[in-house]
Amino acid sequence: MNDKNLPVTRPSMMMFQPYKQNVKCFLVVIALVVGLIVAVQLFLWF
Amino acid sequence: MRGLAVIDIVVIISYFVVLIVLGILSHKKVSNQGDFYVGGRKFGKFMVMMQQFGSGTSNTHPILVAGAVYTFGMAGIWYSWLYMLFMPVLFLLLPIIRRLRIYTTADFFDLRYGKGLMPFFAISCLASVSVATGTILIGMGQVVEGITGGKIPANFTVLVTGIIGLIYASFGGMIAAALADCIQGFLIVALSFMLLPPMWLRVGGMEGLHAALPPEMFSLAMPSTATTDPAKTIGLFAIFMLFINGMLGNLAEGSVQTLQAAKDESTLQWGNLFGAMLKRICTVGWALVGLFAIVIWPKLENPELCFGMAAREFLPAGLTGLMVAAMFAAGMSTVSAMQVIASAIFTRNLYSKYLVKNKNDGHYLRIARLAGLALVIAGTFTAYQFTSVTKSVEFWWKLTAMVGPAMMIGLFFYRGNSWGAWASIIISFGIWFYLDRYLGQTDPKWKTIWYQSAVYVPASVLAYFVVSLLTKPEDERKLARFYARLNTPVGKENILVEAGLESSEDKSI
Repeated sequence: MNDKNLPVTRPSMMMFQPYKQNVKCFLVVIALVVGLIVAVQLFLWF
Repeated sequence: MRGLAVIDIVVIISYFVVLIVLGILSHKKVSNQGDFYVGGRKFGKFMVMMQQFGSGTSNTHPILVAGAVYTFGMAGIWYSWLYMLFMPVLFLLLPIIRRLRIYTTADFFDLRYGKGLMPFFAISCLASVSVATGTILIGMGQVVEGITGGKIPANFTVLVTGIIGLIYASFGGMIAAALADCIQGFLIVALSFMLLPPMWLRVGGMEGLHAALPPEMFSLAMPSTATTDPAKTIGLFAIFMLFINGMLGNLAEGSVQTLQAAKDESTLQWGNLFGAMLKRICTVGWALVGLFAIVIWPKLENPELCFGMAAREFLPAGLTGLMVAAMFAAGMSTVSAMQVIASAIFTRNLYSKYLVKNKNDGHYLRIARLAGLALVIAGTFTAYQFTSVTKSVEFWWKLTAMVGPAMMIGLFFYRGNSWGAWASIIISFGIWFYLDRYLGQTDPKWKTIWYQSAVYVPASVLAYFVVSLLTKPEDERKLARFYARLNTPVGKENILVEAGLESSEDKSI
């Protein structure tokens, strides 16, 4: 929301608020995905 | 060939009874359309997780993945894992999707565009949902018939699934579907791993596998040198294109509606994450079945049969019933979610908009329940149009990816308009048709989803931008309402009402 507490009516970075939670979620997902791929490939090779 | 023991039949019947009871119990919690379509938007993390896992995992997936791994080696796992690459992006998009505050995916087109896109999408979504339902029914029929040695015929499975699914989803809507998913999720996990110990012992574990198969069969990215046939190679190019195609198609699959059931944005993100990861882990189990099957049955004409053959050969009495119930669970959980999605689209986006307007909530709720019946019948007919599960799943992916750009880019590109959306859909369909029906006849690589999408996806995106920029922009007030929703967190709807963009009497937001 802007200063007047009116909604923003165009595409904006506010769509990605709260940033901290989104960044945390983004990093956790990447770590889990990469971890799973690496773990399965290592399991198959050895 | 072995049939069913008494204990197997008891397990299967118990499962059906539990489903029907859940449906009837949930009936009391459904008092309006919002409860029926999106569970009153009250789901917590556990419900979201099990709903994502249950409705996102159908019984066709084990067949598809085991069959693909049998054909391509472990790289075939990408037939299910392709969405995993999209997950980091998806989790950034989830809160935005929840903020749309819509009931159905067709509502998105109503909110963002004009010019007939909403009814077009509603009708094509109903068609594609019946393709997907048909795919699930046919897959379930084949596997259950295979597992039980023909004691339960495929047609009987199709009919029973339709009727039971209809009863509980029609009674309880999204709430019943999600509650059933909580039980069905555990059965799906059992389905994924119960075949591994006996197959592992037969083959001699990983040592036996390595001795019997060439090294490239263990690679998650199959090297192009493994075979000269591009239609039988899943290399990095194929994985990349499956990812792009899946990313665009994901939003258009109707899952937007199930995502609307979460009580807030954070619940949706974390619940979804755990549900999605659970599915990816189960996928490893299905893939290993395919790998073991290459060693046990080296020359299968139809690789899709390997999962059912393994179940028939390796499971003792009791576990066979559990596997059949689990197969039903995997299929029914997805079918019931689709029934609710199709009911909502038909009632909300077609019936109440164009056929019978201004009736009370109870009337539309009854129509929504009846609409599920039509979907099951349509799905049953569709089931007999496809002979291969893999082919029908690929067809479903292509259909959804064709409308994907209009949804995905429309979220961020203010200047995007209805003409651009129409152009992207028509051009991608035209290109796919040409490649599949003409070029594919002389060169088989143009029949593969990765070569086709490498052409129709960029063409579709380009058409969206170019045509949007060359034509009149969308109505400013319409766009203001759309983007105001996206910029306003869930729980702060009063801001939208105070700005005059939403009505305080609109219960749907």
